[in-house]
Amino acid sequence: MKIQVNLYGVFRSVAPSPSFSREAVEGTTVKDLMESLQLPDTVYRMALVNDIRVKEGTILKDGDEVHIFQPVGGG
Amino acid sequence: MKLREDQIERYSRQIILSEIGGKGQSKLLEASVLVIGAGGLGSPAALYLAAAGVGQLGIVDSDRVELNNLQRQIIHSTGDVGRPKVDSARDRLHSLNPDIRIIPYNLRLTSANIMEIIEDYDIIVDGSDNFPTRYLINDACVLADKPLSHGAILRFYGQVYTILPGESACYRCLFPEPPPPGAVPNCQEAGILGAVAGIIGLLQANEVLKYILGAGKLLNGRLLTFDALDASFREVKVLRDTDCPVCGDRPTITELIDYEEFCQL
Repeated sequence: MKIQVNLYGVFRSVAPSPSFSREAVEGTTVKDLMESLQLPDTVYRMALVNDIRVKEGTILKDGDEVHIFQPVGGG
Repeated sequence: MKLREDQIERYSRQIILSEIGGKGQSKLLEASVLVIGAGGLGSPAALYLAAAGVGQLGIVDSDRVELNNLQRQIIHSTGDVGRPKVDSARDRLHSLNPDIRIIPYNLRLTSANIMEIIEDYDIIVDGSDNFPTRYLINDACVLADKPLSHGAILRFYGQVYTILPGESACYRCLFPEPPPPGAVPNCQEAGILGAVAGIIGLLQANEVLKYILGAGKLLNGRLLTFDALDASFREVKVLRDTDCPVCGDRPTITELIDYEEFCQL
């Protein structure tokens, strides 16, 4: 299945592009996706799937759009 | 309100805009905006709101100006180093536009004082620099039903969106709890490009002006992100979480929390 991935802030630099499509096997969770992208797990992170915040255990479906953020607090 | 001749002259370049006109300018002069933080975001936001003629501008900050602030906190000058930021900001805003009322609050916001302060304002600008204050502001604005412009920055990245309580996603819909202490660096630790602060602070001012004028389309339910290295903006739709602990259908947070006690960043 195909997943659309969007990375923001500190996660922007882990892939050549901040926005890309990625093949994933059935049953892939948000956490699996984060691990496959080698996102640092020491960093607090948040994912939206199709505009809604989800837990990392959420199973992805074909065509899902995932946005991955770190909260930013600077001002 | 009837505009004076000097006001018509001062604001002529925006009064000419069909979305503003004399009526819109009067709305701006009668409006009150609270800018929380006279730092990287609050500096450009307050300067442009004052210049546009927002009638009452409250500025909250408990810090003093430091030399390392001046690379981005453009409301302060070299001669202000050591002064309370609210004094420096008040003087600069007054010299820019003596036509408006500026109210400095030289204090740190807490659960004990925030409700009383935000009560007097039409819309709030979050330009704070730490998570405990951001959660306090979000919760207070949701509980008091006050519109809030959220802006946040780090390194070459910034984000901005507008919260209309009960209508659009609040900060907790995105991030339900503050990150654990030390899990997210701040600008002091990770750095910030001054121009990024300027861009995001000005987008916040732009949102506030549109809100007061009732013009255009606000960033409510849309998180706008900015990447300075790519020079790109991306927009993410964010839906209100019906399970949100503060603005959801069955809220579990019904009074304010001072996170400082266990969340020092």
